Amino acid sequence: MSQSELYEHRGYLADERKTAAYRAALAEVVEPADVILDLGAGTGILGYLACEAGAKAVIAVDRGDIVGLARRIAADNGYADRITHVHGLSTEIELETHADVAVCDQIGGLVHDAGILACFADARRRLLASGARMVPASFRIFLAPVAFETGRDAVDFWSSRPSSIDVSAARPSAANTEWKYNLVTDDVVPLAPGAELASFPADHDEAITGSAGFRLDRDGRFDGFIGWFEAQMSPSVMLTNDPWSPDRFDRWCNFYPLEDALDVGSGDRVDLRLDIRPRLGIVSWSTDVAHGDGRSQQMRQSTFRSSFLTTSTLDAHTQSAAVVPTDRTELAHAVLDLIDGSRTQADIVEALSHRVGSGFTTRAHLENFVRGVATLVG
Amino acid sequence: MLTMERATTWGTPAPSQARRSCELLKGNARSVTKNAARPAFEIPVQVLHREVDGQMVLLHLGSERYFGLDEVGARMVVRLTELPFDEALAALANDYDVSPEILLRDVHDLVGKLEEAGLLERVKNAG
Repeated sequence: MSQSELYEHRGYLADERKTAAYRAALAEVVEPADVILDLGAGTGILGYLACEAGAKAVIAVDRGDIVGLARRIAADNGYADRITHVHGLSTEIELETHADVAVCDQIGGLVHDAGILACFADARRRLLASGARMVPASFRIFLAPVAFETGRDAVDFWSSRPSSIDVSAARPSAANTEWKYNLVTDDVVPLAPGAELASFPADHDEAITGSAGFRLDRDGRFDGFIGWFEAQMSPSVMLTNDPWSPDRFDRWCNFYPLEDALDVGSGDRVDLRLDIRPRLGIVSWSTDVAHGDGRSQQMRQSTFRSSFLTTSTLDAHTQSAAVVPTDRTELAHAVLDLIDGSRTQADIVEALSHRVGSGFTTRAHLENFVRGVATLVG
Repeated sequence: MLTMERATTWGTPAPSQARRSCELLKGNARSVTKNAARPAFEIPVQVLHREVDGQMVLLHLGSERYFGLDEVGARMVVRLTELPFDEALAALANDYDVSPEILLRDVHDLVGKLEEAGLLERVKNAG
């Protein structure tokens, strides 16, 4: 496990407010005969809380090798007889028994951005019993127009000619990026109270759209919007990353910048339209500003324009174009022809060792290629 | 899924014209149309678009389908969404060495495909 992974999971485990919310929600929702599906289980903490709540069994699913660690921890805490660990993507597994409760904490900063919606939607279709419960059960998302120096700098840096180099070509990407910040509220000034943009169940992977109008209540510089969520974990338990809430847990908020910062005045009106496509991983935000003096501006932004793309990447994703065979295609054929159920990866590498120096620069390069083909099709 | 539409290749436009095409494609934070006369077509609000190396990628949010245009097709869309129809044709004729008949045929062909895919809409009462 890498340092970053250890810090990541330490953060999850040390977040007592979040753990308390999941513990209380599972205690409210879980019934003694329940089978729990823990998606993106990590170290397995949510499964242990479900066992505390009296669950009959837990199926803990994770795509990462951390599932091995989770097995050790489950045994060390006396849960090995009730928790089954599955190594894989939840969207690619099959279960013999449908689960009664699904639990997951991959909520991100604004719900759509860490995978819970897709996981729960897929689980609802294939892995959950009819009427199964989800923890969290539903979400509300909120945005507020803000002055935010750090967020502004994330965009404006690219037009600041750092080291006297013009890197302004990257500014459009920065201005269309969904940024994530663990906020210190002293650094963020709300220009109007936040407004709810949408509410939806936790298994909603369709479009999430909403609009809100803000009447600004102070003068200032309008840099963009801060977004946060309220998760209805169970009927009486709510969890939020609202930066201005005293009950917030340790989770970042999302920042949606304006293309350019605007000087605004008290009484100016800001209209926001938000469009989130969870399956595509795309967020679009449209901002209309009407100033008291009659001026107006419109900005249309989307994470569709944030990523760096080249025509070669587009060509690789074009299904309507003929796939042209290359040297690597022929090499992959050679590996596949040697996969017969009896040969090991070492056998295949030895059989193709004459390729080192022609197609593969080193034996390690060849070994990596053989491993890649074998694990892709295996 | 990305379907790349290859418009007819009429030849390489002048560099200054190619750069302007890219700038127009990038200018999504403001309305692309700056002329007083209304353009012939517009890209619907449910369609996102962006420039990639002079080409254009469009995403229809309703169908969740991607559509690609090569440099010529991208320039057609830029002209058609910034100018009235006759002016757009004139601008394209100036951009490329192509006969008026072939130009008109290819523009109609591409417009038809884009309209059918919901990626382009005629502006009502446009020129």
